[in-house]
Amino acid sequence: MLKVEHLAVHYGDIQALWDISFRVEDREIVSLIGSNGAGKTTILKTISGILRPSKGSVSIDGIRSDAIPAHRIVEMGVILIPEGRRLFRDMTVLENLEMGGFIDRARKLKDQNLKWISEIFPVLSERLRQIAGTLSGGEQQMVAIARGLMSDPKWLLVDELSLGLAPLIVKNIYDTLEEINRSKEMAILVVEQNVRLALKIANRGYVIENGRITTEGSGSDLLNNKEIKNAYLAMG
Amino acid sequence: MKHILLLAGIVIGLALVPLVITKAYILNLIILISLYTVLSHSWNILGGLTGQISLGHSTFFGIGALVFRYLWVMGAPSYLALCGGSISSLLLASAIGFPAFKLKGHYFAIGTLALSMIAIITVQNLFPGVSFSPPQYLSKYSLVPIYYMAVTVSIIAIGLVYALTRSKLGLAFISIREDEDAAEAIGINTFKYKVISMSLSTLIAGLGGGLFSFYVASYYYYVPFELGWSFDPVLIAFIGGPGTVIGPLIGSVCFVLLKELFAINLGQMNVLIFGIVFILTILFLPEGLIGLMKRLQKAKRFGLSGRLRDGSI
Amino acid sequence: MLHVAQILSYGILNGALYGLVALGLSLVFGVMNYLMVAHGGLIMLASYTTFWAFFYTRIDPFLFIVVVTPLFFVIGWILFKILFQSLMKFPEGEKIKNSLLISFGLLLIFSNLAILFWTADERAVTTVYTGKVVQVLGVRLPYIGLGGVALAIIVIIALHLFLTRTYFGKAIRAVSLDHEAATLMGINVNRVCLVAFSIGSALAGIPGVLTSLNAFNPAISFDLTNKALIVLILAGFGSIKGVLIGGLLLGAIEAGGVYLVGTPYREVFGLILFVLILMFRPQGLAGKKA
Repeated sequence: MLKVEHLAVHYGDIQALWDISFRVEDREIVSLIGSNGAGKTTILKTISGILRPSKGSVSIDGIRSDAIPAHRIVEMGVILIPEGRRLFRDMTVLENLEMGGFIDRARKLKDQNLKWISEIFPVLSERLRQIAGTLSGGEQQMVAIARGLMSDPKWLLVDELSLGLAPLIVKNIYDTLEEINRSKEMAILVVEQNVRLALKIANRGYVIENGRITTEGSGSDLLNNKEIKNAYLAMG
Repeated sequence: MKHILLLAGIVIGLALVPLVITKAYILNLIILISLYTVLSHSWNILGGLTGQISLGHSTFFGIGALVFRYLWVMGAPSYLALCGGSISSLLLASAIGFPAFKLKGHYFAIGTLALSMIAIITVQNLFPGVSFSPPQYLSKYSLVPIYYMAVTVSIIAIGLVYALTRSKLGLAFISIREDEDAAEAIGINTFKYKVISMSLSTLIAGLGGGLFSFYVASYYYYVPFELGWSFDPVLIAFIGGPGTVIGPLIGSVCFVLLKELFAINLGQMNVLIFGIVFILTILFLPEGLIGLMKRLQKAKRFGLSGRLRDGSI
Repeated sequence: MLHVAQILSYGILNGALYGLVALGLSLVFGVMNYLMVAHGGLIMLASYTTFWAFFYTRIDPFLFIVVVTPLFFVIGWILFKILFQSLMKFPEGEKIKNSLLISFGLLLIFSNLAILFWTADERAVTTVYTGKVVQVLGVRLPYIGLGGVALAIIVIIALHLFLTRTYFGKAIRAVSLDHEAATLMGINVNRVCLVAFSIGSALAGIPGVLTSLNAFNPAISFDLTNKALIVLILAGFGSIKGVLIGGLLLGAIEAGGVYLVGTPYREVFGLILFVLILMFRPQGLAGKKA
């Protein structure tokens, strides 16, 4: 289980998160929704070790991780697919994937994982030798996710994957994520501005507003929640 | 009011010094301190206040010296020659320096470094010999007029920087230093202000060069173009406190006195030691001695945690 | 005509050397945005090391590369740990400015150390092949220069293979592209910077050996740093691939300068070109915006 308890995070003197607590159980899909600047990306960055909390803790399978350097958290099985993809644009797709599988544990599984990735993202298998920066937006997002999967993770953190992508492509990618969750029993924590998508695939969800959690519940409950419908789904 | 009296007292005191003290040693020290104060303040305007790190200020120092010497030998009175030297530096800066402001950060720094290399090689080839003061001055060489020129020029330099720190111009400089993009975004014409900053900086550097030439009777023409004259002002500004008014003065005092100390005991080693001191200053005291003093003051008032004793910030 | 060919070939031989000189600087800049202007100083120290090794043991400089390279790897390691690692705590803009200033200070320290220990006198390693040339179509090519070209080719191929065929080499490339993304892959960016810096320093050893075979003194620290910066800009800051070409280009340009204005101003030609390119195309001829 990935657990976040009473997290407070500052950017310099400015506080971005107040008393954030939630959990992601094994094999779950959990969605964090909320508007721009609510703090969702900050949460993911803190879990992945890029940011340090000023208060509270993050623990992965019972082990506290908030003081562990970010590159070691990957070894613990948590991988972040960052906002904006952040591919190594001048390197080939294959090299990007190899970098995803940089940690020792993942190197042994490289061939195996490459094979699996060409099954779930068939488009990529033709593009392995292509320079990553020349791919289309949707393909780049697939590479970003595939790159993360190469690290043999137990928890996949996905930050705003829909940004800048056509709806059909986004839907395909989310379908693939569901498939990954089913077949590999990988837990996924999704941060997503598209609330409908985020809640449809989620087992559970949390609503973040101004750095605080305001509502939580199962995916379907939240989808039917009147306030959420008003605020985020522009209906009712 | 108190401050003005203090300043007036210091100025008068300085003016009276040569009448009272005749030991050349003391006069030389004060002249040197003034020289380095002028040079490091010239760097300070561009680097400390405006954040444009120049590693090639020796170029402008050197031109000031070159032109001053030329005009002086030609018969111009020293203060006119000084202005001539100063303005030539500015002209040189406008020819090459200003276009250089397309460069940001370290590109500017290495551009100025390259400039100083070009300058010294060119001078070594064009003027290979030794430069002498005009003969009539050589025979009656006296430290007194040099002393007065030195002190005057350093007061000008310090006064200029002081005025800058109290003016909107200086504020524009500082905003560029802090965040050039943000300054641009709020409507400050960063190019214009960088140009102004560099103009003032090179003017003062030229004054320093002229002073050097007035002071040192004979030297190889390339000497004021040497790399040391680029390094020393940076070192002094950082030791004293970059961007401050009295930082370069304090730094110069330390520098000159330490150099005296080392020269007596260690000869060649002093560049080595200053290099190490410089690096240590960058790593541990990036705001220089002034910064250290400020931090100590803050600690005294607010307790070591930097907060007021009742816990508020 | 022959005269031109002769000048040009000297230019090319020099160019290979310049490429080697710039390689370490380019790597370090590409990976961590540090402009290590003391690189010329490292090369100068390597020349002195080679000189004294030859003086006492008569070991051939080209063979001595095997010792100098790991030696300077270690020196780079120590320098990084003591000086540059402490810069990691500063924010990005401060970090770059301070690394430049510290390198500047180091440059002066190195050259002064050299003057202190070994005086400013010119030295050179003289071997059996010093001064020997091979004549090709009437053009005289010094053995040492040819050795330099061979060395340059070998080193660049080796570096290329390292950066494209090994995990760590690819990690270095990843880090030079995006520090944060690299961290998210599980790459220890600090360690990569440390190793890259050490490799950069080791890459100072090789041109150091070459320069020891010609007349040198502590002042070459500044000349070599200049050359490296000029090549960097010709190749494009942070682009390692273009470095050899940049070096050759500089060699050719200097040759042109010598032909037009004569030898004393040879340096100035390159420097002026440097400043011009810096003003109008600061990302370099082949590079992207740094």
